[in-house]
Amino acid sequence: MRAFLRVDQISKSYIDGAGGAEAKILNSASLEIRESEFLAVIGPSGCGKSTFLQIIAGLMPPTSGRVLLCDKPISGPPAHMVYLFQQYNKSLFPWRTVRDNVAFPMQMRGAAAADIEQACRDYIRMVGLAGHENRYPWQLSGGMQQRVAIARALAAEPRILLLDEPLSAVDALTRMELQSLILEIWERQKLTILLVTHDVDEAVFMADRVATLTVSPARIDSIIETGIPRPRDPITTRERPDFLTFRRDLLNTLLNRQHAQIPST
Amino acid sequence: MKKRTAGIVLLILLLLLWEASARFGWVKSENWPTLVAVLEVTYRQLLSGELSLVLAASMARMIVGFVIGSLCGILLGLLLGTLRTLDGFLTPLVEAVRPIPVPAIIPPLILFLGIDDALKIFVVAFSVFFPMLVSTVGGVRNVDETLIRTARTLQTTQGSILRFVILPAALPSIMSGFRISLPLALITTVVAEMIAGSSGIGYVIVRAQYAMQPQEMYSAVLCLMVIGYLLNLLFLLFERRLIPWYHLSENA
Repeated sequence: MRAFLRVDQISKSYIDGAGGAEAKILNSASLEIRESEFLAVIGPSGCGKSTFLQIIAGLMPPTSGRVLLCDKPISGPPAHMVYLFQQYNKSLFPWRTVRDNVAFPMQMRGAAAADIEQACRDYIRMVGLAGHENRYPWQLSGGMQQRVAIARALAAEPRILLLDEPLSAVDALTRMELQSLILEIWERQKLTILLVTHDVDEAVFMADRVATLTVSPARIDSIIETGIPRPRDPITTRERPDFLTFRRDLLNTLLNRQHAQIPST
Repeated sequence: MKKRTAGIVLLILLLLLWEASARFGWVKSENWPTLVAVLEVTYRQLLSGELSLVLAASMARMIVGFVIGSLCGILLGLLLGTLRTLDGFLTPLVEAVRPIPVPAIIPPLILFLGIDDALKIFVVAFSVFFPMLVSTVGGVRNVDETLIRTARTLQTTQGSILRFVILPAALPSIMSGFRISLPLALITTVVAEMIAGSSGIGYVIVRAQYAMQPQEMYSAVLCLMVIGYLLNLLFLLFERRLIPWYHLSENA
């Protein structure tokens, strides 16, 4: 199968401002993402997950390696690929209402006013925010703000969504609601999603395949198919033996690896 | 609301004290007119046009200078804030020129610009330029990187990022620049008119002082006070319309 999105041995180093020492964040990380799959990348906090995803989004150049979308190397944010930030409160435009935030990408590509109006209504309804169109982001709860950010991302008509721990800042129940919402949208819009998270449960619940990142400098360690059938239910899926087995094996791998690294650090 | 009432009561008491001190001779001076006499002169001269035309001319100069100075400040501020290379090149110059007190450059400027409108508009623009520049640069620098990256991932061009992301995000800071530079523009207008030329409200005050006409002098000061107050009021209304989200979000 031809790779839809191919991450080809990307490395990223920063020159430390003071000492001039080179800090290596990513070490030749490679990954292939199939069209319309849901792939989760899991790794501990501070392992370079965000850097990895921002390079794929074209928001940051890699030190070496390249990212290919449909076999074409990217330079800068490609069309039809949208990055969803973890910090929704910093990513929404505070001077724009919910409606105007969602309208933003359509205005940027010069869509007609009537089309924008219609599409805004559709996307806002899709994320369950009908009736909140004229409120400002800071008048909404965290979960609602992330819904606005999702609606705005959809308004850019993406084929690929890159999710950078999008749910790590909301409470547990809201997180489960939003996981189901994202899965629903993924299926309906036939999206390809690359989710980066430190939450093992979330990765197993949502993804078709789970990739693990090693700690700094990060590289992709293993990619495993979960094989858990869809549609997934927030309660019953989590009780399935195959879910529990997969989650246990994954946790084992991650914890053993961390444990093995303690003497060396 | 109660605090405000108390403040207004104090203001009225002080005005009454002024009236009483002049009327009952508590201040023994030929140059201390009663408030009523000053108000009378103000009313008469505003109606006759003697004062109102002068004020209008001063305001016109101030507004032209203010608009030119703030536009230049905002535009250069946007450039300096976004282009790091230009910033290193121009900042030393800005820092060197900025501390010059505006009145000090009026005499040398007279030699180039004469004593009329060109001079006054220039010095007002000059005095407004720097606070506008500094607040715009500050606003642009403080725009959260996440906002810009968001716009980039949503396929926004560089020009549109400046217009639709950086400018609105920097607007609260630009507005605080306006808040500083508006009274500054009024001050500079009056000072320039006092130093140079034979027109404007600043000139009226100086002339009244030379001519020993305290009523005229105080009436001009009173008018300036009211104008300054109204300008600030106008600014607050304008600000509320332009960035309604800002003060609300600060309280949220």
